[in-house]
Amino acid sequence: MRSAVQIERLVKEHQDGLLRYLRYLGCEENLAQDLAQDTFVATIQADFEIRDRKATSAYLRTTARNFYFMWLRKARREVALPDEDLLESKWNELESEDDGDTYRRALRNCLKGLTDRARLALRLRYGENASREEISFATALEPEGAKTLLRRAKDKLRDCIRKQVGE
Amino acid sequence: MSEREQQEERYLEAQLREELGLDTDLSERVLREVYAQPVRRVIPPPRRKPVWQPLAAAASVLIVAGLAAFALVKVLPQQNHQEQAESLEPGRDRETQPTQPERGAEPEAPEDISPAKEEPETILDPEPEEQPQPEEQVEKPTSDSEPIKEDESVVDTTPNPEKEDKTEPDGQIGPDPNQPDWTDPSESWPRKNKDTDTTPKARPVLVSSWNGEAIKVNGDRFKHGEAVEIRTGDSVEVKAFADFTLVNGTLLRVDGEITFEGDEKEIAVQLEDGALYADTVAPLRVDGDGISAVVEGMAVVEERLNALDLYCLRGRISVGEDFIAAGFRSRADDDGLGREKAFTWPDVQREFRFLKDVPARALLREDLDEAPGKLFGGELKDGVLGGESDSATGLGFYFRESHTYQEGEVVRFRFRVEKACELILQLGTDENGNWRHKLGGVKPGEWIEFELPLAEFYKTIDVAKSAEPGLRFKFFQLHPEETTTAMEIDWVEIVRKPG
Repeated sequence: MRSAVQIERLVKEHQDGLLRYLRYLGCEENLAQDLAQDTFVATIQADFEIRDRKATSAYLRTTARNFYFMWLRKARREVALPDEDLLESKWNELESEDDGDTYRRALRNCLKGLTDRARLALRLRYGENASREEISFATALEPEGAKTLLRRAKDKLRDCIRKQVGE
Repeated sequence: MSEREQQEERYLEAQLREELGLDTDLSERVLREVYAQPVRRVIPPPRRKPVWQPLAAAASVLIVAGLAAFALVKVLPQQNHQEQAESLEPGRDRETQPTQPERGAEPEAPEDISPAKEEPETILDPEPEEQPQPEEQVEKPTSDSEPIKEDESVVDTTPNPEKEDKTEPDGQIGPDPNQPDWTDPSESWPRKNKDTDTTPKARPVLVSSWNGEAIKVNGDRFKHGEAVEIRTGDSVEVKAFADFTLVNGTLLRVDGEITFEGDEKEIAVQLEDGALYADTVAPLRVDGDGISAVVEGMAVVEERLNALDLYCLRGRISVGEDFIAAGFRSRADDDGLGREKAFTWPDVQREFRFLKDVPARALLREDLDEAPGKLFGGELKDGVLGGESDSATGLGFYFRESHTYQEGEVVRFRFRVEKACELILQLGTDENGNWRHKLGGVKPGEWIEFELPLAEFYKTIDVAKSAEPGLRFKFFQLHPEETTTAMEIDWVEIVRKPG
């Protein structure tokens, strides 16, 4: 068993990446946090030997993925996930060598290029888990319009990020 | 959206949640969990028997014996008080009547108290509640009057019939006999008896027939041709693909796994895995991954990660208040319906191999084992309508009831002619005359299955006019053109097909 300080260091160093990965797999926010916690606890109890950051990160991802699959089975939600190798290769491609920092910087820049209303809609949706009705109320749009606004905002962000990361 | 695009989409959303959401620190949660959690053991540790247990038991016996003796001394003094008072010096009382027996030391019974000597058995053969208990109970003898299971290390001084029947080990792992249910008569225990269990019968049967290579219903395998009652709540996994005709006439073709839900009036399916094709008679709810869509018409639904891909072939598919019209596909997720794209039936067939063989929902079928309605010439024999026919007198029959033509329907039939000829198939309607189609160059002597879209029929008296949905067909008639031949019809059906 590691000391509290070691445990805290392990969690703080890897929690963002692990939560991001679980969201990438398709977990909603609360589930992602629960599974990340289970992953850390299992890793600590297994006395996983920490060699380097990359290996630890990969180990945590695999454990988290297994927990997610277990949860899907338990919830009888057999989701056809892509091949694990494909998932990993795409993840590594998007995260590049810097844990997704380049992507995040590009995202921040691109968010600035959106209209205030689109940013508000995104913040409500992804920052506060607001429903479409709540977003529609906040943006003074019909629910259908709010949906379109979100979709277009994401399309713009994706194109913008591609350009920036590509550059 | 391709697989890669989906992954990019999810990654973008993950980054957006991280960027726009609150900072999350799991360290406190993890620490609390790690330190609060007892060490997990799958097998309970063996029950220990400390070496000092016999000693403790012996000591307990002595204490109990002392207590019993003391009790006797306290009870008897009324009888012997006078005698004792005379034989003892003043102040001696306090010494011979200890208020607290000393642990481990057997209290000395006064020699001159005869009753105490006369009843040694009461001390050596204590009541069950005074028997030495297992280690954790030694210092706290129970006052419960029920016999208590003795530890093996203690000499059994009391016959205990229950001990003979004792089959549980010390660390009892079976049901607790102290629980009231344990002593219930065995008849009251729940039994898994298929013959008497009425629970499944309460679930309505939702499937009237199935066709396919093999299916598993709740894990039980059924091969092609084997009958099985599929009820609400049943989970069905198919090998390759299988067709299910539901009790309301809806056709489902499944490639994957589904669970049937609802009842006869409102059937629903949970798409656990894979995809399904539905040709519905009544609205059919398809759930998958937390998303719900209602199919009214023909559709293909594919289960995706937290989403459903919907292809509307005919009619409409509703998701909440949104819907997709025929000829369009979209993805439904937590945000509702995504962008719509047009598609064609060949696109769907390319995408889904299980639809390569076009599914068809039977709307009307006559096997001609008996006359469905009035016959036109010929006679029925062994399930075949046969007889001589010429251009004026064809073979045919009235349907049991008129059939209303809907888009996408085709008529199929199996027949045989004696002579090579051209044939006319004619369908009569209630109010709008007869409609026909010509079959050229029919080979003689062999059974032929033929299929014609109803849309290709034209009006007998106006060849420029094609049949349109809404016509109510009432009879089927086949006759040769400008010749005479013997003819047989085996069966006729009208089915609906996509495309």
